[in-house]
Amino acid sequence: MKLGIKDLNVELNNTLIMKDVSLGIEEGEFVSLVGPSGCGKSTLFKAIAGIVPVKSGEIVLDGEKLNDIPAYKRGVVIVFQDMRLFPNMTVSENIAYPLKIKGIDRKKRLARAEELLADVQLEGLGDRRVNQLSGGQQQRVALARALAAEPKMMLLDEPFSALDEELREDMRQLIKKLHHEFHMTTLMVTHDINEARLMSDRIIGGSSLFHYV
Amino acid sequence: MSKADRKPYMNAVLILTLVIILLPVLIMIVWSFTARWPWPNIMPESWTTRTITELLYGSNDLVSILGSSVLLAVIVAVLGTVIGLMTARATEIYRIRGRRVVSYVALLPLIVPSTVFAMGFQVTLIRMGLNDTMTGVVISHLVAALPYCVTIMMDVTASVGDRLELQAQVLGASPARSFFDVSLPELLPGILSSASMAFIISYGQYFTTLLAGGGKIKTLALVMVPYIQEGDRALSSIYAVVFVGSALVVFFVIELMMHRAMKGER
Repeated sequence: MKLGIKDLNVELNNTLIMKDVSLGIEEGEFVSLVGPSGCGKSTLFKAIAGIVPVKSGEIVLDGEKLNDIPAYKRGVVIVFQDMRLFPNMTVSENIAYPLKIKGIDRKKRLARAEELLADVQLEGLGDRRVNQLSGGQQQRVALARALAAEPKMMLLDEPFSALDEELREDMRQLIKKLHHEFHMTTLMVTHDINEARLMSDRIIGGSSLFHYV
Repeated sequence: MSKADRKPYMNAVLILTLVIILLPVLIMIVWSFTARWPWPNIMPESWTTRTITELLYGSNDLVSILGSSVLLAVIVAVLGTVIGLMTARATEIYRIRGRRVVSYVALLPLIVPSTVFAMGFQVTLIRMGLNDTMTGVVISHLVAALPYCVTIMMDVTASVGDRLELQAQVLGASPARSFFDVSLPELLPGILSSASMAFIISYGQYFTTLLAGGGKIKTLALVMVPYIQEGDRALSSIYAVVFVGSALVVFFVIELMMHRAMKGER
């Protein structure tokens, strides 16, 4: 098993947000988490990535217990719904940022950013500022940046919510393609059951996962 | 009214604002070199360079006073902004208990008149053995500047939030690195206004400097006020011009350095 979660409890501001959540994901699987907004899916993501403290329970990735490992050492990347591109950097610099952290020199990391730009079909836009991109393009940059980090696991938080229908179809195919090419293990949150059916190996219903508290 | 129609009015307002700000400064420059200016003449009757001589070779060493005033104000600006930023992080990002209380308490030094507060503060400084020292003056100026620094930094920190930082962290950046790489550039305009505010407050402190420094720490404001009290218009004016001018020069330099820093990062 790639990711194992057991009896996870998460508390925010002294209110229990998530109660006894358990799930398991296999290596290379594409799993969708379907449920209405506000049912705790995003919080689950944040708990897996380590940016929300866990009250009790266990998160295991590649056989290693993650609970006490800080977010930046977990190798779990979230692509957030609101993209969160860094406005002080160009498109290329955004994508190259995970490599910059690893200490890879500027020339190499920008070359890698070019390759990733091609993977998400945005060749030639590397020097743009992020606010010059459309919503769909920004989503692709966010995806490329996540891939640059070479994560052990990818968490996609409603990746299509900012896009119109035509773009969605493109993005679906792109994400599926990248999932296979990069041998990713992907967990995606969506409220669209059809989308989940189209894309995933397995669907987990939010209501079965989250016991309302 | 369309945008194009509005433009002349906007320009008029802009020019009016500029005149209102610049006219007094201009009059001060004229006054700086005035020997006699009887009413109702439009221009002075006779001119003098007495003020320049007094300013440069007089009883006060202008260069060292300017230097210590700027140094003091820069220290206050840096410390005030750092403390403001840390307070803002604690209340807005880490959501400590009683953060509403913090935001009100931060404003307290504004409510108490500075003369009252300076006298009480001097007693405290004497007890701590910090009276008549630079450290004492820095602390007293900080208390005056912090309400502005904390308020400004709380506002910008609340609007920037931690969303970009958290994204950087899941991409592999340590918390400290993620702050400096992605949040700090977004906070820069706020940092600049907080630092400018603290600078100008420290630069203009008279009573607090006088009491906390015991007259041993000399600043431009400190040597300027006696001339104003004596009613020596020409000397007061030239000191005021130096005061405004030097503050503007410092702002310009800070702005330039920030610009450079932003560019260097790219």
